[in-house]
Amino acid sequence: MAFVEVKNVEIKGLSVAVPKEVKTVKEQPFFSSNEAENFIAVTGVESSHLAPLNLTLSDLCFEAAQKLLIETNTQTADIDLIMFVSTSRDFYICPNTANILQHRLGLKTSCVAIDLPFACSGYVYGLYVAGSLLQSGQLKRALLLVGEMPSKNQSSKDKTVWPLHGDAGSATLLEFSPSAKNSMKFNLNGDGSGFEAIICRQPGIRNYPVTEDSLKSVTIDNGIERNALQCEMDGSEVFAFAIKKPLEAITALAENFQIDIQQIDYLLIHQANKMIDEKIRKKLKLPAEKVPYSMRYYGNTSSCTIPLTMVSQISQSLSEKVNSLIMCGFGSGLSWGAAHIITDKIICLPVIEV
Amino acid sequence: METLQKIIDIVAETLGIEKSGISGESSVGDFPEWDSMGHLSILNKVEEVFEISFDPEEMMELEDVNDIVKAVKAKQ
Repeated sequence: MAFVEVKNVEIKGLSVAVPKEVKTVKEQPFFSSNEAENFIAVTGVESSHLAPLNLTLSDLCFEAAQKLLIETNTQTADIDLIMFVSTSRDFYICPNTANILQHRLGLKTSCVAIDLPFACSGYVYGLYVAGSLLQSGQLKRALLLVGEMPSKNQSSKDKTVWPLHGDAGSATLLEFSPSAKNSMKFNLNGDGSGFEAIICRQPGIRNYPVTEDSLKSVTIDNGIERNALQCEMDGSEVFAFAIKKPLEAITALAENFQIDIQQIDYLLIHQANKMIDEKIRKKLKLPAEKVPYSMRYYGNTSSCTIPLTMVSQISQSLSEKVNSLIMCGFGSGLSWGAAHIITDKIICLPVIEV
Repeated sequence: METLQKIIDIVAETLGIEKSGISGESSVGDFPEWDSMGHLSILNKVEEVFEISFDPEEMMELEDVNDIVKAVKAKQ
């Protein structure tokens, strides 16, 4: 396990944007009414937000970032780093979406622009990488843009992924702060032996080129149809991973940095599904009020679940006082990480609908 | 005992695994097939076979075969 610390960096503000349109579990044709009820009970997901064809994740992040810059009274010239953490990039091969957003947001050309193609573990990894680049003080402020648009790379005829996931994009403002009292503490892990557990087989260089066959929908099982461009998930492997590794990562983080888990204000777990997250909560013996959920009306929004839970469920606490938070993201890669972050009255904007 | 056997039959049939490996203590995560969606399929089938309905809050608490047996018996 990689235990790492980032000093002199603070989260200043946070903003999340989702598409206006909502898709509900009950309206999905592959579920009977009773099956839909049970799906909601086990996964905790009742509905999520769904982007129209012409809306991209970078559009959502743009809206979230623009609003955040205004509300935190930050000038575009003050942003030294823009990082776009997502697999929902505008263009899969090149260029980087961070470059596109740097120009679109009117940031200076000396602003460092980087894409990080992480999925569900992306917020934790993004905080670590962006924080690391800021901590020397040579770059002062970063816009960390994290999110996913699963509706663009999942099949609406795949009942194992479609009803569970939603679209959302976030913006987090990070600042170099030599007076910061607390460091950000991380435990980061990955295991590429499970790279096929959650995978989009095309497009990419490994299975090049995309052909007409790539677009042909194939029936895998009852209620599971998809093509080669659409994401597939090995539910059994992901479940076995999800009930084991995140818990280990949180426990090891706490042990290594001598954090009393019972004393934290909130545990922000990636909103994989409620059954998985409740298993983790119960094993850590945390009361329900310390583990907020946003999945009911937003679904699993991949790397955006942590910031979305922050702005939609605990924004008052985050805005008004100091909070001791443990975050844990886990998913495709396989990749997983836990972080201990102490926030102090951050600007937390209401969810924006685009 | 009869309810336990019926639940084991449902678990085996739904997940496509051998009955002999399943006991009252078998739970979610014990077999690769018993993931979130496998669990969902088991509960759907139990509701259908026993003609009962679980409450949403109750479903989150049903983790092993014994939990399901107990919940079914309480509704019969």
